[in-house]
Amino acid sequence: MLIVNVKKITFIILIPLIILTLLYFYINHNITVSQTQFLMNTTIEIKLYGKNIDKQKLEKIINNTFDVIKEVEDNSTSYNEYTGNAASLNKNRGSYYQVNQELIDQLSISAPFYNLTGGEFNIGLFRTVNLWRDSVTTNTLPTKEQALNSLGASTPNDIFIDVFNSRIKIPPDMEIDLGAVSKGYSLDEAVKFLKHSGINKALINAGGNILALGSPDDRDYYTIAVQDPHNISRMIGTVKLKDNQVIATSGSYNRYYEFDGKKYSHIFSGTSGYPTDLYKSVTVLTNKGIISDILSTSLFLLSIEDGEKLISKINYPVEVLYVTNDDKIIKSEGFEIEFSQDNQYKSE
Amino acid sequence: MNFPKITNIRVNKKELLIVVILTMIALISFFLFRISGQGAMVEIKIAQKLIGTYDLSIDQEVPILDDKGNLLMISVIKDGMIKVVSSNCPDKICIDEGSINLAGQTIVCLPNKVVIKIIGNNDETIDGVLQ
Repeated sequence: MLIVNVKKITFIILIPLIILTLLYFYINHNITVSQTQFLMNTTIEIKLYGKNIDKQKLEKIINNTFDVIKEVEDNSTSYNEYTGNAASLNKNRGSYYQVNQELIDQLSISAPFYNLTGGEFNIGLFRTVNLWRDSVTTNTLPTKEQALNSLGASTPNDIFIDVFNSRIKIPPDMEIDLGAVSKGYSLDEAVKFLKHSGINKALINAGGNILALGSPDDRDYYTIAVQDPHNISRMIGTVKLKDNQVIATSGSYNRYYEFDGKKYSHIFSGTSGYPTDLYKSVTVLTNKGIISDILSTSLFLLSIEDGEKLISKINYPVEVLYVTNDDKIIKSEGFEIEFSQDNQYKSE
Repeated sequence: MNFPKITNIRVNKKELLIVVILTMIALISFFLFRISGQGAMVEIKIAQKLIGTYDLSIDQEVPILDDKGNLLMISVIKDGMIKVVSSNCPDKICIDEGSINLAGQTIVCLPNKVVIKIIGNNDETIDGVLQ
């Protein structure tokens, strides 16, 4: 006959079992680790999804990813306070200048969009941007003529990219500004680094651009709220962002130049040097950061018909949603969004 | 087979102590794991350092001070939303941003390095806000 001793069973089996279970849950507990940094003239949040036991490792990877973005920023910005490649390229215009792969990548993808958009998307607008920046400080609205003159005679077609020797030559009367390119490109570089570090679930939010890698454990998408251009405490609706997708918005509402109370958007037409305000916002859903950045800006500058033509020309998966100035929502068929019930927009 | 009757088990101090400790571990882990399931909260950070977490459902005024105790800005929580009402920064963009209430939304003050962020909304999980 077996003598059962309750006390012994409790001590020998039950207590270690409980402790091990708790320990297991503690170690395997799903966590998200996130950090926000001020980079690329905006705030960038990197969120990683993983197990509790890896917390320190995840935090370290986030920090290293920010370093990757910082490097892209240093090499891409044209302002004087940086001594990176784009600024040096502008200083050495007129002759071939040695650059790193990041700048070759960005210029070779973005420069052709000048022709694809009929001249509207122009990466040679640094002087135009400066004209508007300086004019704001003196509160004198640039004239159409001043804006046009800031464009110069050369176009991005006059940029020579020597891929084999990693050299670029920009025309003497042009300075480049990668403001509509490098933020998206930095997301691609960041996700490349994350994958390399063994991360398979991450969300990078750079304000107007969000990139998804993998998905949370309980579903196959991230839920992204698309902010209402009228009222930032509300949203138009939610979008399910899946693995490898990027969503990006270009809008006239969040960044602008103001003259005598009138607001001008920060997105300039490459043919006039003047800001355009065809829409309140243009949101693009695609699967590459640099494309999301270039396309949201390009489509913001083009009519809906010309936008359609552009999308068919580049033959790349792109969905688009416009919020028009008269508060209508116009979207491509494949753009899936769950509208908020209280949103004020008329869908077409 | 003879099973011992429950009433025959005598509990001594040692056992009682173990039961108390186990209950405490269970409770602590419960709160550790459940904290994200609460209602909407707002998190305030200065230069990456968390300085406080506040309940969005309680109307309150939240002054934001730097580590030397200087007042940087004043935020107000009202009707489940938070906004910045005053700030010592030159551009006042943080005030222009208005009220936020969706999980993931942020108000940022670059000069003061302040990030105000809504976290953990219980009705619907929003992983990111496209601005």
